[in-house]
Amino acid sequence: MKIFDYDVIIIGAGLTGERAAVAAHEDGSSVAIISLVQPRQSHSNAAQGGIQCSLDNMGEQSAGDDWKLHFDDTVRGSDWGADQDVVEQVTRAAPRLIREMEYFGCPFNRTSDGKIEQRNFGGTSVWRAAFAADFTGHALLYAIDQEVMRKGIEIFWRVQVISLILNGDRVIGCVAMDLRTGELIAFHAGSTILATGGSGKLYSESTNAIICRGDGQFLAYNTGKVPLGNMEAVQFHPTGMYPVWILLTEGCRGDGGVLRNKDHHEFMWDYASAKGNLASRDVVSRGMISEIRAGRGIEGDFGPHIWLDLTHLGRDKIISRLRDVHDIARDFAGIDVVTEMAPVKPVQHFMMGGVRIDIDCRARGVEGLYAGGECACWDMHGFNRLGGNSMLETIASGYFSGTTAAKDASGRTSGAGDLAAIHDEVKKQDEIIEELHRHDPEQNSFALHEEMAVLMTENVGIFRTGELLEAAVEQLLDIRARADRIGLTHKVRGRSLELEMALRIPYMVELALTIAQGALKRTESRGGHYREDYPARNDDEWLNRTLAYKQEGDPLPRLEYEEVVLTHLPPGDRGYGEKAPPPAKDK
Amino acid sequence: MADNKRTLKFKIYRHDPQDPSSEPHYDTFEVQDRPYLSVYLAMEEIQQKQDQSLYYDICCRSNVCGSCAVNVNGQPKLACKTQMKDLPDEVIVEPLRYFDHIKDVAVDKGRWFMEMSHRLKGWMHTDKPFNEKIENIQKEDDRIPVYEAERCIECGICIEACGAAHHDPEYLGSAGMNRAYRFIIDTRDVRALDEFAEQLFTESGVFGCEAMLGCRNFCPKEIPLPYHFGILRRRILGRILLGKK
Repeated sequence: MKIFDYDVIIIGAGLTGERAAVAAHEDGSSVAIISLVQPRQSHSNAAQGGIQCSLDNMGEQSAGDDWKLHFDDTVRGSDWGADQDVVEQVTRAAPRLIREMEYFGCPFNRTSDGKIEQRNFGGTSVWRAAFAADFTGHALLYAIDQEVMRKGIEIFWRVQVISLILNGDRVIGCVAMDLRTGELIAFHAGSTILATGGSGKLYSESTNAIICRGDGQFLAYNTGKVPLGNMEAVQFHPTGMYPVWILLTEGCRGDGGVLRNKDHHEFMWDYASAKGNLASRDVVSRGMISEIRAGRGIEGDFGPHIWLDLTHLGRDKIISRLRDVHDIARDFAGIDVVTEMAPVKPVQHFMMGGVRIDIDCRARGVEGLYAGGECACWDMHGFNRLGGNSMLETIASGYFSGTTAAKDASGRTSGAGDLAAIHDEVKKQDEIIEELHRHDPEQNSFALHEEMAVLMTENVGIFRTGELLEAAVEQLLDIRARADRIGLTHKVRGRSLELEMALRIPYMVELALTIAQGALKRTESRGGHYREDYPARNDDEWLNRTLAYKQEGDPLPRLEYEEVVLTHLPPGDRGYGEKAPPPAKDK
Repeated sequence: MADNKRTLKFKIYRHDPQDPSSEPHYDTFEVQDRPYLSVYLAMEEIQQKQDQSLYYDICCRSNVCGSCAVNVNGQPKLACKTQMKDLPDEVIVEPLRYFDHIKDVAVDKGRWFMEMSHRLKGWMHTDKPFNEKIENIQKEDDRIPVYEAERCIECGICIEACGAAHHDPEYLGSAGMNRAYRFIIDTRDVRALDEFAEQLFTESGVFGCEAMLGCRNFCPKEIPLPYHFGILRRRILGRILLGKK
């Protein structure tokens, strides 16, 4: 068996992982990145609209912007669920980190005086989102990957990490499956960084890529020692393109696009009198579903939808700033957004929750493990993330996690028993795979996945109730039990999508359970977590963060709660002029 | 065309080069047509419901990551973007021939694209230190062509569609030219044209193109690759023949 040895290993090659790799390498560590796909295919690619940083390059439109205004917007967006010390650290660092990405080559749009241009976005008080048309994630990913190449950092791709290796309370690396050969390989490392992105594929309607299955969250959770924070905090993006659920950026509305109902009425002002179409995503998504429930959605073959109207922007503006939106609508739905409205509906987009880390990105509960980006809960976003703050988080948490991991690794030496722990874990994983090979499947992994994902969309969505959530938990437990009866129709070790899914399905259901159970127990509404039976935010009892721990022999998590860190901004009104959504007539 | 009555036939290339008992062959599967059905969605249905051993690549499913390129009825295309409403009832799906074959219709493009970027030193070269107080100043008109070139998603389709690439393994192809062009025209990169001489002033560089325009015909991002290529060739000829900078 191959054992690779590095100071720092990074699981995931998106923006977070590659920024972490560059930081750790600059601090003198030997570094390797392990990824399912080659780095430039990572899902950071699909981020479109922009990245928040208070450059104040836009004259009147960004007047007075600084880290504190960005901080205030972020905390309001989070519905006071964020840790304010983390938000301060990130918003203060943002201008430097984003200028550095420009220095690495990112072709940001420019103002008339040649500075980085910024556009309007949801939930922000000024124009703050730096952008490269609507392929900002792609442009940033290529820029940071260029730095990874310059440094000659080693990349293992087409590799699926299946387990972390622990020696006592210390994470000393991971076991991975080479997807080309099926061979198990081990990585031994001083520090291990999780940067695997989101877990949108827990939902059937999601903007996420196929690879966003929550690998990193489960790797940490499965140790039984590391908690997942706020898993019930799920973001639904207002403008997933119907019915293929590809993202149409918030930049559409930032640049002047509006949402309309079947009567072509611009309804968002009825739900958020101060911000309208550019209220935070949780508010806009609730407004859209409320319109649909009131019978003012547009009927289609795949259920009702809402219109996104860009037709007043003109071809030039659309082609120069929203080119990919134009192409996606044309290629995947046959719509010309220059002259026609696009059908949209809120769909799962982002997980605010994830591996609970401290302000320096160290995972809680073990030594040697770090996390950043969407798979982590830092916690910068609380219960609702502002548009453009996720890309900022990838760059910032990449920088901080890489720096911390490298510093910590320099003080670590191989422990006694490391080698035995590595061999034990590889043997254990090998046995799990062999066991799958011994059984013909009584359950098809893909069918189980679909059952779970549809259930999550229907029962653990934008509007939640105790009844729906109890049913979700019960059905997820049943799916989890059946997930023990999977096997393989084709008995091969490598190059098998069937095996890749069979290894994942039990844990994907367990992650879904952390979301459903967290949502069931949180009897209030905050940000993206909206309980129709508890429609108000309740700071007296719920100004806290959920921590989900895996329990031995029980697929349900053990839930604990911790205080959120409040420094500058005490809980108050979010400032969107939000009116409570009308109660549903029927569930 | 997206009528639900159509029964579509997918003839898919099957071969596992690492399995000595595997022989290259085609398997045929039937899928009912439905609105918004793409080649990717059809392969997903086949793999999940009919034959779980089918192997293919998919990631973003929205024409931004480039992972799912295959040959569809002999033409290189992204499986996610290629809609069945535009295709006849019978479809042949094969892997890209140019790249390292993994299994069935999956290939590995990572090695080729990483080597290409290393050959071109595909990262920014600047003599200015980083200044956290102010970004590089660049005119929007100077940035737009960089944006246009940077839209490349490294899907490999222009290489697959290129006759020259298939008979010269060293040839950088349109993806490589476009990558070089991206840095050469970027006002922030200080490299002189001569620094690219070894890679570009050769028959495996700008003089390798046979002008068959497969790259232009199939680029899923509609990047004007021959135009970028033409600018590079003109500047390089100007340098070589006229001594221009």
